[in-house]
Amino acid sequence: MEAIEIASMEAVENVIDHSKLGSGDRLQLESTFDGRDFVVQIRDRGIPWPHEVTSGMVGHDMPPPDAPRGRGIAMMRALMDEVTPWQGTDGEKVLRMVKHRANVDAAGSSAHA
Amino acid sequence: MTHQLVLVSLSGPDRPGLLGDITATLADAGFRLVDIQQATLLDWLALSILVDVGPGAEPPTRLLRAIGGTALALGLSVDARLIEASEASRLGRRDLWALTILSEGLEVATVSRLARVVGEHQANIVTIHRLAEEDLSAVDFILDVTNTPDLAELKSELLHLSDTTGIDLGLQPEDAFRKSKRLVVFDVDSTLVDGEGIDELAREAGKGEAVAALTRQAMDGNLDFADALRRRVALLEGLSLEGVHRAAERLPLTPGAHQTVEILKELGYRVAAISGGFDLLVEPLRRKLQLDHAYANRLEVSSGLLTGRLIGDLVDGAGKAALLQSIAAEERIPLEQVVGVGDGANDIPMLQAAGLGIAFGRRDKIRRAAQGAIRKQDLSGILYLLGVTGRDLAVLRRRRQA
Repeated sequence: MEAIEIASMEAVENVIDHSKLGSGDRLQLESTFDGRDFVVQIRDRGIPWPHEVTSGMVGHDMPPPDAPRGRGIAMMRALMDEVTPWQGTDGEKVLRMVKHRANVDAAGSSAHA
Repeated sequence: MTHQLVLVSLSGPDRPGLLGDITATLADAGFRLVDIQQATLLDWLALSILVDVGPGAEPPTRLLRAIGGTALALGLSVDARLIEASEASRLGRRDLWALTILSEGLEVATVSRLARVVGEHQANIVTIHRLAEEDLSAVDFILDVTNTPDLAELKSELLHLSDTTGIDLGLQPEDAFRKSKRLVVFDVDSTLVDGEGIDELAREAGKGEAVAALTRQAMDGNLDFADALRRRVALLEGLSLEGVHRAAERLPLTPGAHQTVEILKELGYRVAAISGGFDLLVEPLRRKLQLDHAYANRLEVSSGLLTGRLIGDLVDGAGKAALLQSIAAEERIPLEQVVGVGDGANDIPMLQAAGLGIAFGRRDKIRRAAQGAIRKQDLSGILYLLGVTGRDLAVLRRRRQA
């Protein structure tokens, strides 16, 4: 459960830092649990994801200290089972993270549903 | 530099202490709370907070960071929107009206039609509260009518909807006076009592048919009230006081009337009756319901028999309105805090003089002149229009049983 919290906080920070939200902008955070998966989704319409993030070129392994980006996504991936940054054609930007309950229980934490 | 506001809407499973956790993050960051609203349905929470984060680009980010992480950890979903303070102040200026819907059970199709009518008049439903304790028989819709071009037209269409769906409704300003009414003035015939007193007197006098025809014409507004009244009273000449007493005994109270007056009095309202009928029928009612005031036309009696004439000023439409105003003045209650309830054309001036006028019954002319219209033959519906909730009624019931 702690992993979900840390990943969620990191994701919120990451999205806010990169999106540069201004007046009139909107940020949506959704947290759901369907009995099997915990799903956290963050949506906004700020600055789009860089291509290297949505194409999966970065963020699978922790990048070297001098790399400009990719640490946040790598950290989320280390904590969650699935991390999908997605860019819609209508300007919507989504970061979806999933943690399977089995893996939460295996880590010895209790579910929050 | 202009201040920025962040409107944060959180939803998800409720639990004790949740608001404390959320607001702690705001307090720690030194943000100012501008507005807050919360509603729960079963165990599901919807919390909206408007936060002033001050000027600059960095503070909103700081807020979202603080609240976003906490909320996700609590299993809540968050929708946050950044707003300029000037825009928020424009959005905050609202003209609110309360649309109260009373029904046997609100059909979803009726809600849909209602919402559509409201939307077509550029009115926005701001909040919805269930007033009844256990079902949807009484629901308040708070409307923002700031951009509604013609409120009278909206009301007219709502009344039309009421005719076709069977719902009863009230439309009144949602202001300080809405729930602070202090005096309720009832008409008597076909409002507090289920029937017309003069018809019962006429039956005793053996003039039933002739009087009933004149009554119907008068109540529909097709006959001058004063003229119709004098003509009917003349037909009662020679009726004994025993006959009047029998007529009074026969007149049943309207369903819900006794209970409604009792509840009003228990809640501290002053309650009055103003009748275009007769003192000899209204006086027993005043005693029975312990009304604070009662006015009616005075029948002249000589040697135990009605003379067929009236004494003193006539209580007609204008007279009823004047009496309502004089009772309010005597009680030192502003007219905004007075409620008028009646069913006939002669009640229209009284209903319009009151802060809230409620039409009881089916007459279209009076329904259009009033702010509330209750067609269901039970007077207790007016309590919901006064803002009394089913929970309040349950508390009173329990208190009475204790």
